[in-house]
Amino acid sequence: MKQFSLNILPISTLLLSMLLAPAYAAQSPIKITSEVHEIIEVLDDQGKPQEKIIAAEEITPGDRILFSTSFTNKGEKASDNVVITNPIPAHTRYLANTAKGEHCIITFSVDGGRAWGDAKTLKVRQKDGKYRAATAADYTHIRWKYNQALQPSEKNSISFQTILL
Amino acid sequence: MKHVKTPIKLSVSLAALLLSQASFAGGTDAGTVVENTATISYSVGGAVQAPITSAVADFKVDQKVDLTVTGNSGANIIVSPSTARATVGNKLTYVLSNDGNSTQDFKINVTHLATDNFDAGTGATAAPQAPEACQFTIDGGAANAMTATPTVTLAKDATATIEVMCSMPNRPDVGDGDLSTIDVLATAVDAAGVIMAESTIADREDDVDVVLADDTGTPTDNADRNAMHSDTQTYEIDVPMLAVVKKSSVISDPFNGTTQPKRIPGAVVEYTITIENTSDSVATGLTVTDVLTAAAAGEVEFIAGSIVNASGTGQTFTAATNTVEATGITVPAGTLAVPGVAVVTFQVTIL
Repeated sequence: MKQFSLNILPISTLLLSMLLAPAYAAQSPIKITSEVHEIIEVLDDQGKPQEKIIAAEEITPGDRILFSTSFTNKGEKASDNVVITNPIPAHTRYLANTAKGEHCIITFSVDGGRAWGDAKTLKVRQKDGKYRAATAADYTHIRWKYNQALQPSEKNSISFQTILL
Repeated sequence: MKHVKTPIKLSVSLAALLLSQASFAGGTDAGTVVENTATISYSVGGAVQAPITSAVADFKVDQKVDLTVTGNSGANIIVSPSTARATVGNKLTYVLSNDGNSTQDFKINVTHLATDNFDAGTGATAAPQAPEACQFTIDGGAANAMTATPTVTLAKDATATIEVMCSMPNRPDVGDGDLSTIDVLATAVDAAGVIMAESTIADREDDVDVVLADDTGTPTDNADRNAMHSDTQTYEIDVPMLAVVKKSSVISDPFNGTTQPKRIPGAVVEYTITIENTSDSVATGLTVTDVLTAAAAGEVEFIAGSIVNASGTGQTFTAATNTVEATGITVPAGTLAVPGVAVVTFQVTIL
C-alpha cells in the first residue's frame, strides 16, 4: 500500500522535480530518453502491408506516431519500484493495445493520473451521470510499472502509439 | 473563420469517443508542436528517489492541403427551355470545403464541359429568352463571369458555397433531354496565387512542410494529391411534348333525340379537344383557344355554358370574336405509348 501511494507521487511532484532538476541531475543514476517516430505502412515483396518506423518528419493529421522511452541504470546499485508515467501528448489519441514494455505491468488513467486501471476496470462518467467502460480514446496517461529491479547498466525501453488528431 | 474553434474540437473528440476509426476533418493545426515527456520514479535500496523527467521529444505538425468540391445534386437539374438566368430552378449549388489543417486560399474555376449536348447561357437564341451568360457567386457575393477566377480564403474546416446560374436557350437544336454540364474546380494556392506544391526537400522535423492530400475529382482534376478538386452538375432540358386533336360528335337531333342522332339543323354537336403529353414532365398553365369559324359564318351557334375544362381553372366564350378559351390547363406527364391527357369539350347547335 505504501508503494502504491508512492507510485502516484510523480504527477504531483513533477513540478517540484523540474524545479530541482539541476540539483538532482548530477546524482541521478537513472537516465531516461524519449523519442518520437512515425509509423507508416509499406508493401513487402508479397504485396502485404508491413509497418515501418521512420523519422517523425512529415506528419499530418491522421498519421500514426510511435513514442518510445528508454531508461538505463547508470548507477552502481540496483533500482527498484521503477515506474514510468507518460501523459498522452496533446493533439493525439492513444491507439488501443499499442503500449509495450518488457517486464512491465501497464495501466492507464482516464482522469489525468489520479486513478489507474485497464479497459476492464476504468469507467468514464457521462453527462447523464451514468458510467460507461473507458476506451483507448479516453486515456490521458499510461503507466509502466517495471516488475523487477533495474540492475546497474541494465537498459530497457517502453513505447506506445498514438494517432495525430 | 466561419466555425468557432470549440465546437470543432468538441465534434472531433465526440467522434473519437463514438468511433474508434474517426475521420479527422482538418485535424490539428499546422505548426502545432506535439511534445512528449516521460517521468520515471524509482527507489534505490528502499529509499525513494526524486522522479526524473525525460527531455522533451517533439515534432511540428506539417501542413496538410486538402479540399473537396461537392455538387449538391447527384441527379440532373431539370430546367425548362427559354428561361432566364435568374430563374430559381436554374441554380447549381456546389460546396467547397477546406479539409486541410490550416487556413488556405482557393482559386475557383467554373467551366462548361465539352462532352455534353449544349452550353447553357451561350449561343444565339430566339425570343422570348435572349442569352444571358452564366454567372457564379461565392457565398452570395458579387456575380462573377465564367472567365473570372476569384480566390476565396477558408479557415480550417470552413466551407464556401458556389452557386452557378445560367439562362436556358430557346433554339431548335436544344430539345427534351439535352444536357449541359458545369464543372467547378477549386485549386489550393498560396498568397501569391501560385498552386500549392508538396515540399520536395528532405523533411525538417521542426519546420512546417506541405503535404498534398486531396482526392481525384472530375476530369478537370484527373489526379489525387495535386492541390485540386472538382465536381460537376448537369442541367437537363425538359420540354413537354404536346399534341392537340379536335374531334366532333353529334349528341342529339330534334327528331331522333339521342338515339342515333344525325347532323341536321337543330342537332347538338360536341367538340372534344384532346391535349396529349408524351414527355416525362408535366405541362402546366396551358391555354386552349378555338375560334369558331362556323359560328362566324352563321352555320352553328355556341351553347352558352357548355365548355367543360376539367383539367383547367377557367373557361370563357367571347361572342364578339366567336372564341372559346380554356385556361390553366395541366397535362400530366406521360410516354409515347401512354400519353398524359387533358380534355376540353364544348357544344354547338347546328343552325
